[in-house]
Amino acid sequence: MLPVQAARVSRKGTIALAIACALLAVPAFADDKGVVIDVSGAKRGDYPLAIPLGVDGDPAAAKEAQDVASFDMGIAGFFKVLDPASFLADLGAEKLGIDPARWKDVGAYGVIKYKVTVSGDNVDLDARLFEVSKGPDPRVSKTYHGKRGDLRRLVHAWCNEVVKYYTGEPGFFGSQIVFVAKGKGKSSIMAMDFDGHGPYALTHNDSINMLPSVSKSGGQVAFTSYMRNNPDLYVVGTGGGRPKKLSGQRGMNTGASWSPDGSQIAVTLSKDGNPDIYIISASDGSVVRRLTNDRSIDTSPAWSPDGSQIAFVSDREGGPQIFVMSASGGGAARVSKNGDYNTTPAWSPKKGAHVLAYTTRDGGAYDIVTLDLDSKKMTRITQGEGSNEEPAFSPNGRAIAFASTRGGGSGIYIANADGTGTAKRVWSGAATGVDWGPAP
Amino acid sequence: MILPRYHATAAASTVMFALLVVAASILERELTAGVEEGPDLTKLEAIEVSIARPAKPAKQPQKQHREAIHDTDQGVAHDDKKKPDDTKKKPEDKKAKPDDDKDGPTSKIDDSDEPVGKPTTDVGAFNPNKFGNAAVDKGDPFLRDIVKDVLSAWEFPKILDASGVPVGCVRLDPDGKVVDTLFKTKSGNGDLDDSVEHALKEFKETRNKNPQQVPTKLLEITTEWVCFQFKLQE
Repeated sequence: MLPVQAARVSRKGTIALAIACALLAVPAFADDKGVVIDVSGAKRGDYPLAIPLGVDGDPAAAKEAQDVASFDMGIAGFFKVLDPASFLADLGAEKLGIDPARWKDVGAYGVIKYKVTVSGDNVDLDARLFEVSKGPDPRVSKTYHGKRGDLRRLVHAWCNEVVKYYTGEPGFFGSQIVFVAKGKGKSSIMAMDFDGHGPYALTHNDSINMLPSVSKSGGQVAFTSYMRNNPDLYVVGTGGGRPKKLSGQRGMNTGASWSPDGSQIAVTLSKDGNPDIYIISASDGSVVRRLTNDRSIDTSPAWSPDGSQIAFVSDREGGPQIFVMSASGGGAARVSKNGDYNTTPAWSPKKGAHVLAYTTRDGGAYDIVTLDLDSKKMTRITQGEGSNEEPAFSPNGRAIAFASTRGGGSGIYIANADGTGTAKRVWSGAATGVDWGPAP
Repeated sequence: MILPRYHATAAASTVMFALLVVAASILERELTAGVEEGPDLTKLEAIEVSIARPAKPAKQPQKQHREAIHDTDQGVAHDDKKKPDDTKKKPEDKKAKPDDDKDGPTSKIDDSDEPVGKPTTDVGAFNPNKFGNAAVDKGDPFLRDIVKDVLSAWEFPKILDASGVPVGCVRLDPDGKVVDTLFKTKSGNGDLDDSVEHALKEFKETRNKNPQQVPTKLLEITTEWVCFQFKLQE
């Protein structure tokens, strides 16, 4: 080997030796062991969301938008809308942006910023959603245009986007609730926005009208009316108009429930001497098939979201209990095991859920419960506050509307479907027969 | 064979370099013990409600000492011719020695190992570079209470999911007040980290409204950061 080559090899070897020495030296001086205390299991609460009043733009429209958005987010089931009085940010300087540090100071995780511009009869809504921990760039930005009278609808649409951002599915804002408003000697079918805005009558007779059911498309409402001195089944458009008689069989034509595709209706008929469940055509009311045939009283059919099952109420084992059978008939099995009085079943539309809500009587009071048919887990939605009946799920299954006579005042209330939180009243007055239309 | 000059130089440099590395490691260890990066958490042993620390040798019980006697009758003399007063013996500045008879008759002397008199509570000053290396009683009620209060202050939105384990620390004074908080290790999830920051802040506010004195046996925890590993799932 030449001297130069030997020198190169030797130089590399000394460098390697130096590195090896260094590496060997390090482990001998590793950090000492120490311990920390484990804190496990945070409380899982609502998401703190700030909705400050929009700056610039039309002040009255901004206030209306703030009110609508605050209600929507508060009733969504998982947001805690923060009190605007606690905000520290300079809204005038921020405009449609945010200074994350200022919002972190008040405990906000999310911030909604918006601007409403009114020009004549037209309105523009520019809205942004920020996540405080992710910095000053908005996570969702949308603009909407419409007539001045459409502002609520536009805000509902924006709030549905916010819910979709966090949950992957849109909210139920902008949907409708139908119900029976009870009066002296008569009762009317009413429709309103889910938040109680803009109630209007769907029936205009002085008779008893009851048990409304909204089609899955949201375009029609089936209901029972004594307007011709017999409990006949009628259908009316959700926009109002003249009801059309669909089924006028002798005896009862009550408790309509639409099939998922809207082509059929499950209903209780007593034409053969005993109240039983039948399937009739939604177009002409003709009987398609009979589902139950026994001496008991079978009523209140509720078609499952996937169309495969029908829940109903039967006293075949004594008092009224909830049963589930195949939509083609047969195989009825009792599912309600609590108490001696369970009625008005309603299916959760939540994807993958196999859950019923129903009215149960517990020691004299009526309350709403949900029952997971797979896990058998029962969740109480109401308790100890007057009588609470006739539950109806929101389109996304996260909320339940029901009629209540609680101390705060009779009316229609909305509660979280998981039993958490406090129910909010959306309509005041004596009411029954609640049903919830589809998402807008 | 005689190595070429540069080989010898290279070998010497290698040895020097290795020595320097060793020295640097020692110095680095001394300087960086307990700084922001702190101990490697992967080596940490998590304990539910207590801080484990290496056992310390018990202090020897201290006997009572009689105060040394100082005779201060003699004033300052301005007369340089004044002779010292020999009538009074110059007091022996006796070295304070253990007084075996302090407690009276021998039979009253307690030969047990229990410390005599009040034990010392001087645990030293707070060391901002020291984390969680304090003596402990496993399952101590005081520490369990702290964990309970920290958990009460910690909330995370149910619609969010997060992974990672942030670490937050507090500094307590002997009165049990939270003097300071420190967010030591982030999880990488901004929402989770924010929830821990909120928790530490609220824990401090709540605890300081009604502080609980740190028990004497746990006083050493006031000389270091008390750290918590926040795990979202139970």
